[in-house]
Amino acid sequence: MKIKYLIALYIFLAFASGIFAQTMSPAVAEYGKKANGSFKLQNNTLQPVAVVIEPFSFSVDKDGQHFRKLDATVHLDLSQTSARLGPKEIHEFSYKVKCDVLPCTFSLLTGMIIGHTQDGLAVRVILPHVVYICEKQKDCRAGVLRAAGL
Amino acid sequence: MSRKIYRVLAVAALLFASVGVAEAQLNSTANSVALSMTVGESITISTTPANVTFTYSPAGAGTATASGPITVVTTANVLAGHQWIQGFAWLGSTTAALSGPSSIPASEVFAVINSNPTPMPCTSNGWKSPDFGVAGAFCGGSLFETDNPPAGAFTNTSVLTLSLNNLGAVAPGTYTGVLNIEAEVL
Repeated sequence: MKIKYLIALYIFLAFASGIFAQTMSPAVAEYGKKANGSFKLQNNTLQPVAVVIEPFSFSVDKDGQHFRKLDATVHLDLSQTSARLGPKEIHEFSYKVKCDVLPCTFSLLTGMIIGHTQDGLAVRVILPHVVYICEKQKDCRAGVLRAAGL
Repeated sequence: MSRKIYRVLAVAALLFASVGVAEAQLNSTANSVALSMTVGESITISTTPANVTFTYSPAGAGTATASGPITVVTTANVLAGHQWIQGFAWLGSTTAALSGPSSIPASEVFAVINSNPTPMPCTSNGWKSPDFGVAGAFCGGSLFETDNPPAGAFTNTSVLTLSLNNLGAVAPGTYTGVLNIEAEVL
């Protein structure tokens, strides 16, 4: 009987560890002038995962999002630029940001290598936290997209 | 007789007193307690499996078959008004997608996305996001794109099958690389 349970547990763990899922929330954030924000990253797996966060400024047009190095006019104070998330852990990253030029848009790309391998290709999952900052918070994202002709 | 009157009066007094007590009950005004819950927009990406190993064969022009396809499931819970939800896959380098005793370039890594019958080299740019990732190392323009997603839950499942072609004679050893997979909401 015990062996049956052990086999079931083994199958469950093997299956669960084979699905590598991460969740970002919120995916998009809007602020007015000064922004004190945060986002949560959830490691849905049963294995720990290392996270590296990279900030990029971006512009947007009908061809898509165009990323570049973070503008010098964006003063970003990120609580952590890397972390290690335990199994099923939800980790909150906070930030303070002030933009000299408004509106300003940037993205915090969270990169996680989830399939380390000695041989072949490892998968790195990237989930962005997209930030829009305007004079006023209301309809900031919509205004930026509208100004871009979208 | 007067005793009887006193008794009646006493009973009446008790009755009125109890009525008075009942009327003295006070009810507070109804206060309401606001209940609120904020559910932020979220995006989740899952990949199965999380790595791919290749088996090399020198036959023909030199090929390597992958251990299996990668299933990428993107789920999101969004408000209305987003431009698109997209998914991308790209290699870590154009010149050394896999590196080891020698370098295997992205042009020798081929991808089939979903049921597209023709394997395409991982040498394109992101369809709508040409300025991120590694230019010229995208496996297809994008894994998927959904414009103007409606509010609520969103799910996309893409299957990415990789292979290595035109490798020629490859030096023995171990080759490793990184496949980046990104999902984004704009």
